[in-house]
Amino acid sequence: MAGLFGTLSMTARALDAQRAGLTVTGQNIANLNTEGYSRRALLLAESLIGGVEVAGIRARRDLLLEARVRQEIPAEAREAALADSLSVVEAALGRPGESIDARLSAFFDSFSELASDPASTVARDGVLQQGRLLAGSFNDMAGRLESARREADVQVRTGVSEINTLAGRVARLNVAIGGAVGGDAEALRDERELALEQLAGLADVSVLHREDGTVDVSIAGGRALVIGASSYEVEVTSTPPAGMAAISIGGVDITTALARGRVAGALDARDTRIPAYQARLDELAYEVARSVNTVHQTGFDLNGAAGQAFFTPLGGVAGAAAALQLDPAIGADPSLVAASGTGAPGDNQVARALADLRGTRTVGGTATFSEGWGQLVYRVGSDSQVAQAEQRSRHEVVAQVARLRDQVSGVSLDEESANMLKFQRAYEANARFFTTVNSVLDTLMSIGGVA
Amino acid sequence: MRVTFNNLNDGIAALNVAASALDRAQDQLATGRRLRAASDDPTAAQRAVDSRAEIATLDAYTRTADSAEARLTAIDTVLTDVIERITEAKATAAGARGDTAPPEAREALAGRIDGIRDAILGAINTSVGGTHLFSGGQALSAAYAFTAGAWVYQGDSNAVGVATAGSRTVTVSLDGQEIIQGADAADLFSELDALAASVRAGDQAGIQAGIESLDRAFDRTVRAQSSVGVDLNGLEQDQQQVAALRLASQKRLSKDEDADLAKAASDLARADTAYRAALGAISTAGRVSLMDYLR
Repeated sequence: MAGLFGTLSMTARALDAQRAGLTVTGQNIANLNTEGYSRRALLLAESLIGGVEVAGIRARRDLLLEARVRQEIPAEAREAALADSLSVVEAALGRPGESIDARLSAFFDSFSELASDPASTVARDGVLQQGRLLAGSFNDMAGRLESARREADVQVRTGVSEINTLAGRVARLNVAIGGAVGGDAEALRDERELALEQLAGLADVSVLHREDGTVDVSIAGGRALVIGASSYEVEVTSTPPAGMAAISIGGVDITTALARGRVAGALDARDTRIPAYQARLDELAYEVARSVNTVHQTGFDLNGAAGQAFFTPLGGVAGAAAALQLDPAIGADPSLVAASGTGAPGDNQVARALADLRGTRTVGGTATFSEGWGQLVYRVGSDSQVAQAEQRSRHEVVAQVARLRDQVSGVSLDEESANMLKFQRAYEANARFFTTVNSVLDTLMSIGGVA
Repeated sequence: MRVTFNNLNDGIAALNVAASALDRAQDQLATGRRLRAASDDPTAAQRAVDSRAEIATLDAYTRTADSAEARLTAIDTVLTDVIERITEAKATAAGARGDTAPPEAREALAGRIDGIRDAILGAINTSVGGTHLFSGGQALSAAYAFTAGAWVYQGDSNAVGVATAGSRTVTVSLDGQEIIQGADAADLFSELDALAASVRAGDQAGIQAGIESLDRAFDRTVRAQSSVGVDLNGLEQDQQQVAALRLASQKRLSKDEDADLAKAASDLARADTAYRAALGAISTAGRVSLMDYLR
């Protein structure tokens, strides 16, 4: 059994241990709002030489739940990126009655005005003006869709550069964690976990924990991104004809292998959704030009000459919306509008036939022009709606798993308050004990001092 | 279950949901529009495009019908005028019958017939906004002109029609020759010229032939006028139908696009309550802490 001096030093160690407890509590409270912080717990053990000793400070983590969070994040991130891109497209389409549908109606209206007064220069000017506006609105819409596609491409590029930054950070943290001792590594682990989570938001990554505390990260179904201390660059190459980014790692193209994550969502918008909308818009523009030209060329202009092309004839469906324009010759001379079916200047058969085109099912043989536009609006709207709903439900899953993880790793203020009280009281009791032992020693020392 | 400090974030997420519902309800009530973007209701957005196209088509019919009505009214007025002139010419010619009239009187009657001829010519050459009403497809040319010593029809036989409803076409530019000449060997103007000559010469047979040709012209004009009347009546009926169809389309469009104000108002009240509840929940949860009880 230790003597009084031994008891004193045991109590001093106990005071140290309780103070360490307060420090850990303080650390936890200080990091209440730190993203990625895992709650620390003080491990106390009974000392072999009596009293208590600090066995260590551990961060509370659940590797399984952390892995689950990383698994769920990419799906949400993909839908979020897709929904963002689609909402840009949606805004570009404009509201019903304020977009191409309105221009189409005004265009065909102008032909029925012309049919009422085929010789009128004012009505002819009206037709040309509306033709110009219609072509212009197709051009604008094509431009807006193209720029939405470019925006998605920019997202892909910034996403890839973020992946590289994060992969580099994970590799550096691997080195630091491998070389660190004791509690120092926990802060590094928190930082690495945060980086891995951000990485999961960008692309579908899988993480392998090694015994030495480092992690290996692979991307796109097994291509190495980080192995121990090294990270491998994901590369972006602009490919012709549109200069869109192709993604590769170690010389292997992984553009189509990325299934989830923000980059995959932007890729989906860029390579699948928006091109499909562009194709529909092009088809619509092509059909407008083709049908109007076909009917217009059966007629005769104000001078009795055979009708020319109304819109400049288009080479093909691809790019039709961007290329649609009023034929320059007709644009310069309203008398060239072919309203007459007989050659007589007052005849209006062709103007009427052109006005009737609005009700003809020409787009794909099944839809009128405005129905064709309505279908595009529906397609974009429902894609966007699905992406938003999908994102909401995915978000719910992520939030639930994250809540489970936080139940293990998160900081509870009530718990920390209780711990604070616990360590404070223990410290006070130990200090009291120290005082008592000290006064016992005093008593001992005073024996026989002054007889 | 351990409730951690991060759970406050859940409260903030709930607050965001409540706030966006409030914003939506407010927006609906303020703008009166149900759809903010196509994704709010893609089917309704598509239907709205279709309904608007339908309404635009019906509006085009209405505009065409309005301008057709103006033209038909003008044609009707002209034909009434022509009928009156023909009647006047007949009366004048009848006054020249018999051998009793002195040459000066006959000359005066013939002069009157010449004047009537010019009046009918003026009427049949009427143009509205530069478009001649009785020249068929040749809208830029006057119907009749006296060229190289003869009356010539400068129009053609293509009566021009416009569509004023799905299937109805009304004629807005008539074939003038059909009225002025019809199946006769000579046109009304030549007949009037011949009549005036007969009156001057006291040629009774000529006057009789002239009066008979005036009768035929009278019949042709009345026929033309009654067909204009039929078109005008039809226009009116069609317009009622078009208006009914437009109302139906407008209703459908309104159902798809416009906010139900009563519902929007109650949504707003509900969203407001939900928002306040979420705010209250956060502040209550955030206020209570063991810290407050440890002294």
